Amino acid sequence: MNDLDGSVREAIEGGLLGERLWLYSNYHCNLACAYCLTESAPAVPRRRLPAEAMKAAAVEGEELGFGGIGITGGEPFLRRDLPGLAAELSELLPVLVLTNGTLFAGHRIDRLDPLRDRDVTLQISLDAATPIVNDPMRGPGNFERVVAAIPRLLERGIGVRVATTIYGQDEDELDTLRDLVGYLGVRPDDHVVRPTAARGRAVQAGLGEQAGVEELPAEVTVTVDGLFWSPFAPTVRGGRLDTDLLVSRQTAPLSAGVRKMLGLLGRAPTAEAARFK
Amino acid sequence: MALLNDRPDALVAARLPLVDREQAPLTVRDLYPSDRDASNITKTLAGSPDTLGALAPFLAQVMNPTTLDLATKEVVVLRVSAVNRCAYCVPTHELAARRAGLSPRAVAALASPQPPAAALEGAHRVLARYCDQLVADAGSVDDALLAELRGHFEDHEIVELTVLAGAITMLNYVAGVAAPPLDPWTVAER
Repeated sequence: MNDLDGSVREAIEGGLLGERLWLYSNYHCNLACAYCLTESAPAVPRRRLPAEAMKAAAVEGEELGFGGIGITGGEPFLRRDLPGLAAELSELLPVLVLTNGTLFAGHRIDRLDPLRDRDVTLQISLDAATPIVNDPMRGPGNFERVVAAIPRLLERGIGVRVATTIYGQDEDELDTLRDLVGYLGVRPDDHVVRPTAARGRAVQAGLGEQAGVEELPAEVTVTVDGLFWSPFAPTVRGGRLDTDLLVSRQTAPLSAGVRKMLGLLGRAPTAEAARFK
Repeated sequence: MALLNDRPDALVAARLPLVDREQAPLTVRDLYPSDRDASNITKTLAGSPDTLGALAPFLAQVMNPTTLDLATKEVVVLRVSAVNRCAYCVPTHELAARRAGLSPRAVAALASPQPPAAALEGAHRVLARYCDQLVADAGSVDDALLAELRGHFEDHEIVELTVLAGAITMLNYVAGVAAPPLDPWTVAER
């Protein structure tokens, strides 16, 4: 038993704290999406969270009572060690990896073999049912690569969810997208639709909804810069990390930062009340 | 003895980031006053919220009046800052020392790089000498000076004053490295 003595489990069961422990694997990305929270792009500083730190956080997270691991960035699969790492973490807890899904063409998908039949799900971003609507925000060719990747992943026994970010698509467009997602083999429950957060690059683009401590559900998020309130929190604007949702610079042991997070929970809405997921 | 750097005014850029209210980390947001801006030393420390969160109650404890009054505490704060040549802390605490009741002549003497003995009297005079020796000799104080200090202060008060001198030295180091600009209210009152 850790020294938090069940507090994390209680907070999760009470709906005050998200069950998933998030790990920011890196900040660089092969894309440069217009609404990116972290201003990720190929040439930005990588700011990798070391594999050993990710493993240590996951081990302690499981002991504390978290129910899952989320890995995000940046594009996690730009890290060569990510498939093996995700597979290893899935022995502790179910793993969800947020990815743009564009790095799996041709034989490159073989890199994901360690994930076959593991409790690892890839959450792939897809915003519209046509490249005309999808690609201006995410980059040329994005739609085609994602639509090609999803069935291939499912065929290999790798779980897929789809995440759609809203920035003006109407209901007809979203219905068409839902049909496409179903056609690709993804269940409706595995299609997440959420608003654009007005943080990071989205602010410069004039996009998104207010996403502060009042709006974002509490989800412990570990980065190389510290422990944050939410995976929507460690954002970058003008090349500088936002610290308004920073909880602690201490991430090891995880319990030290989590204790400070628990101390803040009474100030926030419950997870069910929040729209960002 | 010159100050480490020219006295910063409110327009000089800091060498380490100042964390403004809108970027204040969640755990230290309450340390930003609601009725005015936070001090620039607070904004500097907020870059490490865990450090600031632990320091704030400690500093409040060592700087608040106890059996020792505020004027006595400000003698230590101002004198230690002067010996450490802190370009941010000296002007800031010249004002605080005056508000605590020290005379303009005493404040000027304490803020001077030179030993201030002639401008001070009694306990404050001995305490200033104690600060000079404590900081200059890295914590070494000779028996004679300690005995003289005991003539004015209880042993527990000497513990408290010495901890205060150490705490202020720590802040002097932070301000020396970060070089925060003077706070606007300090500039306005000087």
